[in-house]
Amino acid sequence: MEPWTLTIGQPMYDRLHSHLFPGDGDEHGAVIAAGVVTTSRGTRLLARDLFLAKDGTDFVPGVRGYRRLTPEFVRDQIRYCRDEKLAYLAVHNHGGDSAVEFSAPDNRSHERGYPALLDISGQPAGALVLARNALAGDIWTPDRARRPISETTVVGQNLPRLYPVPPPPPSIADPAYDRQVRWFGDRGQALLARMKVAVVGAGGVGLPLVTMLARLGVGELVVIDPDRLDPTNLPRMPEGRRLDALMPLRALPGGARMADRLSTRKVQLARRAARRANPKIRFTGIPSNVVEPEAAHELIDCDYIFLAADGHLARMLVNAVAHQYLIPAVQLGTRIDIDAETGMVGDIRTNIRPILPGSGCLRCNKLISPARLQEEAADERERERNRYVEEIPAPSVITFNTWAASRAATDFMLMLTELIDPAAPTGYIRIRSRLRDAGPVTPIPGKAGCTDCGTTSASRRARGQGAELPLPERRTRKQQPAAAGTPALRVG
Amino acid sequence: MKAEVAAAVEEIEAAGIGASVRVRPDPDGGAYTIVDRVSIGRCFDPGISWIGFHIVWTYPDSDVYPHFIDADIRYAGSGPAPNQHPDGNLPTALTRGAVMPGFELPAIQVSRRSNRRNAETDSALQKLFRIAEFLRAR
Repeated sequence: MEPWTLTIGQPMYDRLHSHLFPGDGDEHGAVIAAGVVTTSRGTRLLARDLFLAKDGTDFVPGVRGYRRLTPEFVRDQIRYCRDEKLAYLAVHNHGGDSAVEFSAPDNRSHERGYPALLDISGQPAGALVLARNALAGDIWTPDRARRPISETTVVGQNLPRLYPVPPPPPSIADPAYDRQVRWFGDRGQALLARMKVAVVGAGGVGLPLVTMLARLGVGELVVIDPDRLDPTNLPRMPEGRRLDALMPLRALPGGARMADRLSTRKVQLARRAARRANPKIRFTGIPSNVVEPEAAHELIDCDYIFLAADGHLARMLVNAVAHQYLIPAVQLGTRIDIDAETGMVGDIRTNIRPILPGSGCLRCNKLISPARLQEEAADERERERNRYVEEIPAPSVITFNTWAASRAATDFMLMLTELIDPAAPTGYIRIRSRLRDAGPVTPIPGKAGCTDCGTTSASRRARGQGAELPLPERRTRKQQPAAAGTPALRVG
Repeated sequence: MKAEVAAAVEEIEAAGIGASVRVRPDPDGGAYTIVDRVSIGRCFDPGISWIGFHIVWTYPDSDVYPHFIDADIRYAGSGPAPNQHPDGNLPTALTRGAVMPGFELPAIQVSRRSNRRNAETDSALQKLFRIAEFLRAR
């Protein structure tokens, strides 16, 4: 049986934890409405809405057990879950710290109550019980099966994991990882090996990221990029060889055009870099734009997403995936301002923008341009026709790119191993190279009406498979050779 | 056609601007749209043209631009017409030699990008009104 897990954003977890553990040593209650997503790795419940039960009004002394949610409170929340097509999770707490389980009266009440709740909502319904640092779940599905929650991930500044009981000690890490295991331990190394990480864009930023992640010991990589290697990429891509860009062919008359069509795909370079770092790594390379359905749907099963592509369609899609599936993501890149008239170099800004529940929404921060979306969504022929000035490639330099990649990979590693200092600033990081300055940038808070991170019913936040991703209906244009019809390169 | 794009087309049809609306779906869920016989003002000869545009599949997150008008239009106003062309000079933001996508009609491109667009309030219809106003004000 594939595992069932729970993912909850840090702001909601903090509210819930404060409510359940106010310091009085008593039991308290709440309900979480959660989206659901099932992939080949299991089913994730995605905490979307939290309803705190008021002591004495909604959470009262029980008839058969110590405390219970009132029928009125349960009725209101199950109707909400039915209407919004969300799973219903009743929450209460026990004492203890790192282990927790349902009591016998808890289980009897589940058996009495959940079949009826399933009939009302048609969605999974169940219960969660928390200790201070532990969480157990008993989820009932419409087929009347009961599933335990094997792991809970809190998505925030760090990525702590909660279990019903402390997991057994991990096996001893491969001695090759000795120097890094010395500080994050066998458990950290085992966690890295379990991670499925996406890198969107395998260019100057994405390829160094792939190398770093594979060498850190990440177990599975999904790399998405439609492009082939171009000679101008070579100064920024250490993995790329002149032969990959078909330089000898380019020297022949008419050879450049042929080389453009036949040079090595960037996802192939990424695969080579990853396999060289770790021959056992599971690698999926998808040579298409991330808004192609095959690529987008691969993202929803990932534990972390690095967005290292330039386009605003990619920003729109990754921002949507991050919020809809509560997957931590980070957008990164460098902008070098050059005055078109004088050629003078202006500011050089490297941005690392984490996208987390409650923080960093690219849409709310106006980092998804409506004009760029229009341009990128039109086909190549139309874009060429509508262009009034020759498009000049943006400046790009290996040192800035690897800096961004290294910083983002470091954040990922520290988040996963829970080593980000709780006092550290959250939000974006901006490095201004000419000023030798690196500092936090506070993102604009999410807007209630945002369709990605907002709090209204129209928001896709934590809806999982209950909402559509912003994808084209179909892609049949012949002008886009690296489109949906192109088979993915899959390396097991 | 995506639901949001279809709704935008319906809104344009319901507004009754121009004589009729022609629509061709694109392969991704967007729509090439032409509104026929829209008044573009006395500064153009003729003062009535079709206005075409492409509502792409990312609408309403994306802007609707550029717009296109009939290639045979000439500027007859007294304002500045810096875009020089053997077939007649044109005011700023208007360029000859374009093609209305989807319908493959020779066209003049009207480039008015909305840099501060708000997806919640800026519809394809409102943009169409603004383009018509812009042309009438040349």
